[in-house]
Amino acid sequence: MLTLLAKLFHALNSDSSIRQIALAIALGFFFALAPFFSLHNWVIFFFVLLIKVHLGSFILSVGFFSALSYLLSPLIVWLGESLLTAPVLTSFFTTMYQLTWFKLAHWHHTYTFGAFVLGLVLSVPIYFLAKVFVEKYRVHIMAFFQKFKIVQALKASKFYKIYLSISGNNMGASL
Amino acid sequence: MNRYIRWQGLAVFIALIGLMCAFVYFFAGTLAKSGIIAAAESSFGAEVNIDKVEVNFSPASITIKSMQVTDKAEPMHNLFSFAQAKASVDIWQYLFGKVVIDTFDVEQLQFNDKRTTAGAVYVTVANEEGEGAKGLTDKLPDFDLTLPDTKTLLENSNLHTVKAAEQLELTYQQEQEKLKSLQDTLPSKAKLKAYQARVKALADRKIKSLEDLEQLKADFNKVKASFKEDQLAVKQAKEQLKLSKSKISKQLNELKLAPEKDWQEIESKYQLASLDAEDFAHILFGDKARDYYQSLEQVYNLLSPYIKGSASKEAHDKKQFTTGRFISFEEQDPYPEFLLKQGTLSLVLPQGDFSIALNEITHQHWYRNKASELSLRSKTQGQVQLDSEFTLNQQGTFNSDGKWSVNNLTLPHSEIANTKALTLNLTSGLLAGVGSYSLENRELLSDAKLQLTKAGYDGQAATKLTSVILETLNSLDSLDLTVNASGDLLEPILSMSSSLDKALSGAVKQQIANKLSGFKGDLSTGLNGKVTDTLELNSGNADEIINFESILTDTDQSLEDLKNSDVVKQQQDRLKNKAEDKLKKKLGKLFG
Repeated sequence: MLTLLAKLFHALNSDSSIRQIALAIALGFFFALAPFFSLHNWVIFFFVLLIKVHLGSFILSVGFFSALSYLLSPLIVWLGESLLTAPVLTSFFTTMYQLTWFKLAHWHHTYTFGAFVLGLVLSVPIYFLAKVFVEKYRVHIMAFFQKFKIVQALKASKFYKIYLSISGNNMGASL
Repeated sequence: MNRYIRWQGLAVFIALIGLMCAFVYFFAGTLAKSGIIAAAESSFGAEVNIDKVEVNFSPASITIKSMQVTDKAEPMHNLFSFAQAKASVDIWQYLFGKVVIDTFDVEQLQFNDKRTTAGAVYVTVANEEGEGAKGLTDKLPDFDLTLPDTKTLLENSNLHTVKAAEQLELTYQQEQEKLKSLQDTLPSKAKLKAYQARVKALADRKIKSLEDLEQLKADFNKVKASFKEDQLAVKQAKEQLKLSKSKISKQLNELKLAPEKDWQEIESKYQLASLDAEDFAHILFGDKARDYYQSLEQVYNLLSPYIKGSASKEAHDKKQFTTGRFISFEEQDPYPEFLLKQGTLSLVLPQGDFSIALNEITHQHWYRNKASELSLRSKTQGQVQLDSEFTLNQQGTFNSDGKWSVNNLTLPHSEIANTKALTLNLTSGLLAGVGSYSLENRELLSDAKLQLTKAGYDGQAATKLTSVILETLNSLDSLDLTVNASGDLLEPILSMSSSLDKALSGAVKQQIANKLSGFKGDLSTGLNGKVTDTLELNSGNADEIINFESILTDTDQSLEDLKNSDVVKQQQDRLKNKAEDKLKKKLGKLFG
């Protein structure tokens, strides 16, 4: 866990692409909302491995948003239930229901479909928010935090040693 | 392109998928075994043992070998066990979120078989046999040994007879007080005599002229006016007497009816009316019949979570609120969430070997419009047959019907009654019978006609009554029993009739009749005695009222006579006669 956190800080502080980190966080959010073994999660996982997104950020994002998804589950179910049972959408879903992949993806399940829709809708703003956050962090927050004594104390900790082993001594000096 | 694509990621993905498939392929049996054991132990609350679970992927099937589920109430016995169960599952439907089992076969299913070692119990069983859970057979000793004591009953102050006697006495007192207060306002004998003397004086007065007659009239009116007040007092007293007599008469009637009311209440309280010989079939076999109907209740309780409006629906909805649910849309060949297309179970029971065929078992019959079917057959051709079907519609209405027949079924040793007064066991017997049932939205209607032949009984009787029952049962060649059940499935009303009733109608009925007759006689004597005592006690009061009535009648009559006295007319006639005589004399002298 400490290694993963260190990797995240390394990514935030290094020259890694801001878009790679933001996309990892957004996809992590999308992945975390739905049940672990749902079909669209496999697709997300496939893209995470295939395209160059920051894996450490993705794993941490999944961990964080999984806890959040537990709190959001009533909202997710309500959203899925409202959409799947809306009379105006019945003919659309009836057509979709005839497709094997639709049922295989469990999109006729209120939780899975609610998680898919919520993930799809919110992952876009989360991507942009994460992008802004990383940019701001690199310009302002990093310098701001370096002034604190607690940061000085952290530099003497085990976590910092792991961080150094990942990023190398020269990079670590910039924290 | 390479700026965005991580080709080694693709290899990692494929490797991960491969690893996962390999893991499932090699460890599916072990995983399934652990999963089934954990789920079953959680459901049944006791140790579950499985020898082996085999998972096949083409075609998809799962085989469970030698499964034993410990009975948490009796850890040395299994709740059920089987040698092998095999289910072939439609894997596509499973991936779509539905459990569709094409075939399901269970071999050597046994209930309550003995375990080699005691199974661990995780959930302790509450003792269900509380004080209130006494069986029907408990009525036997209650009746025979503790028929209520008449003396104690008669001393009970809550008896209608006692209350009516007390009320009568009170009414007598109250009414007598009222009448006494009115008696003082009535004219005394002296006063009446004075009235009579005044009227007599008027009658004796010498009337010489019309002026005298007018004066007499005025004087008589004065006398009449003086006893008008007394007449009003008499009238009021007569009305009060009428009211008092009516009240007392009502209380007397209530007192006379009270012993019968008391008997009815005692009869109902001690269930003496229901202990007629005709109820013995119910008392002896009612518990057994109820046991069989409770098995229907258990099936219903199993299905109740799926029936709309059941108590567990709220919990079901709450679960769906956080975990979600599958929504089905129209499709060409729809499947319910759970469907067992075909299944066979081979049963090993104390009564013999049986096979059960299952067809279209589901809880959502509206998808395929087919009823779930269950048929049971004994290994011996024609010995036991049961054909049943059930449906559950979208509104939550559960309907089921079925018919069964039994022919020459050997019955195992079983206990019929175990009370202080009677222990009765059926040691052997052959059972035959037919029956049917229908269940429509919890409303049960069922009938069964059974015949028990070549029956052997053993047991011990502690009372005369139970001795007769035991002897009668042993002397019977054949016992016919008709059981009807109707009403709510969870509380069916059972009615039973049996040839036992006729057989017992002689000795037992006579014995009961004698005992009840003696008891009723003693009680009636005691109650009637209380009525007689009360009437005797109040005979003085009744005499006083009769005397008062006689006084009242005399006074009223005297006043009426005085009022209607023709004293004025007499004097008028007398004056008229005198005038005529005078006139005749004068005319005689003139013409004479």
